[in-house]
Amino acid sequence: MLFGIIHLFFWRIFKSLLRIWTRKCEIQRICENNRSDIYQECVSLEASMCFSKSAPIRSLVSMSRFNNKSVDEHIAAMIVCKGIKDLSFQERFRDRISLIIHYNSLIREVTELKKSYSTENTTHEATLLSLWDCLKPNEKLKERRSKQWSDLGFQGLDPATDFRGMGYLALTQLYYLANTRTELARNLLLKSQHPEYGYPFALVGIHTTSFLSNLLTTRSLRYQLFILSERYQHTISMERFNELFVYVFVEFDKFWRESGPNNVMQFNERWRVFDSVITQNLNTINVLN
Amino acid sequence: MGLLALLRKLHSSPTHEMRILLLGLDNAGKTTLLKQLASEDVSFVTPTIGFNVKSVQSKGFKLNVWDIGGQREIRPYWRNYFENTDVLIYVIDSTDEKRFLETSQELYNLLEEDKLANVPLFIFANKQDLVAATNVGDIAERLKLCNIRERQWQIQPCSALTGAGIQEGMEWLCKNMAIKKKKK
Repeated sequence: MLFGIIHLFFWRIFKSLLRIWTRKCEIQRICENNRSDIYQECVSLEASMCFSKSAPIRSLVSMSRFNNKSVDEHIAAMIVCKGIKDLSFQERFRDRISLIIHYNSLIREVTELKKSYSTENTTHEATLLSLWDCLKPNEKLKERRSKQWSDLGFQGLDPATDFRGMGYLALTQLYYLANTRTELARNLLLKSQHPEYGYPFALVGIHTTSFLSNLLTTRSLRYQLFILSERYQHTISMERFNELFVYVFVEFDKFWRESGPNNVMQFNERWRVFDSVITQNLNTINVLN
Repeated sequence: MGLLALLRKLHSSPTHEMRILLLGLDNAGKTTLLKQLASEDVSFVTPTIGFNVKSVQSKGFKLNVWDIGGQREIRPYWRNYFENTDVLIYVIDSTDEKRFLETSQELYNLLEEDKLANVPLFIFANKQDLVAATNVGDIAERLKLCNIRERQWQIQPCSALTGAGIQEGMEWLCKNMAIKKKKK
């Protein structure tokens, strides 16, 4: 704590000296440094802006809804507040700050979807039934509460109890896999029923959602989402987040079989290894290439 | 006190170790209970695939709590965790009336296991914070708990989500274990 305060104090002195010498504020310096990649730039900007003494800067970096007009107003306020004269940094800065806000916005969306699954919500229920139809096209679901759900790797008669802490988010991700990659999803389901190396398909999906949602909220998916959005001109969106779900699920399936487990009781022990490998990948390589 | 003495004191503080086995049907709330015992965030719990294990310090005891998944397909593996159990905690979802019969059958199967003979049984009637929860008296009756012989047992209403009733339960456990250890 004390060290932190001392550190911040000297850091501020150092920044003031730099500012006098370069005649630029830290934000300008970050945006005009051509040695770092987009990820490093965004991370430096975020760190610098979060610790800023000026309120317009802090409120800009913590915006969680992207809106062109509002972003422009915030940037204008920042320029006035910081007394910035040379505006050549502005275009690049706007680009970077947009990414950061889109990331914040994704966290907000995901948190919203995590609110519990409800059997009284018709959208939730319809999605659940569509999940069945995508994965089991040749078999009718006999009733809503049914033992058949365990064929998809749910625990009991009603999948609603399995969504728990991940809520509707877990279902939307499973449904994304089943709906947009139907062949892949059916193939994974088939492999999950292997007599020796099987695993509960739906539960692994819910676990994967929990894993990714945790990485997202601790800002550990920034590398993946920032790099990706630059290279492919994508915005950071739910769809990108769902694509990461597909990636992690497929990788887990491979990893699980190759690790040759004795039975499903080894899941958590193996997942810990998998977790560190995948987290490393997500922070260093572009996995959705 | 010197640093070394302090370290030694800290090191020797857990006087007894206790192995606790946490069982019950899926969605009973075992993992939430485990997280509550370890003072962790209980808002984003997901179904257990396999098992979880955590060490928790409580009232001079080091509790090694084993939380085993309740899914039907996993239940045959429960027996692999029976060895050296000091206390069996059985968790019931008090709102899941439709499965009271199933949960009582699983419980009686456990009580017949040789490796669990004489092991004290503690039942948490969980989810008492919900309106639909059946009260403890009715659960005891429906599960015919008065038929349990030859072991100490206790049932306690609780809410693993809010933490209500958990401390009372753990106090009973530690007190009874303390008596048992002294007898030894």
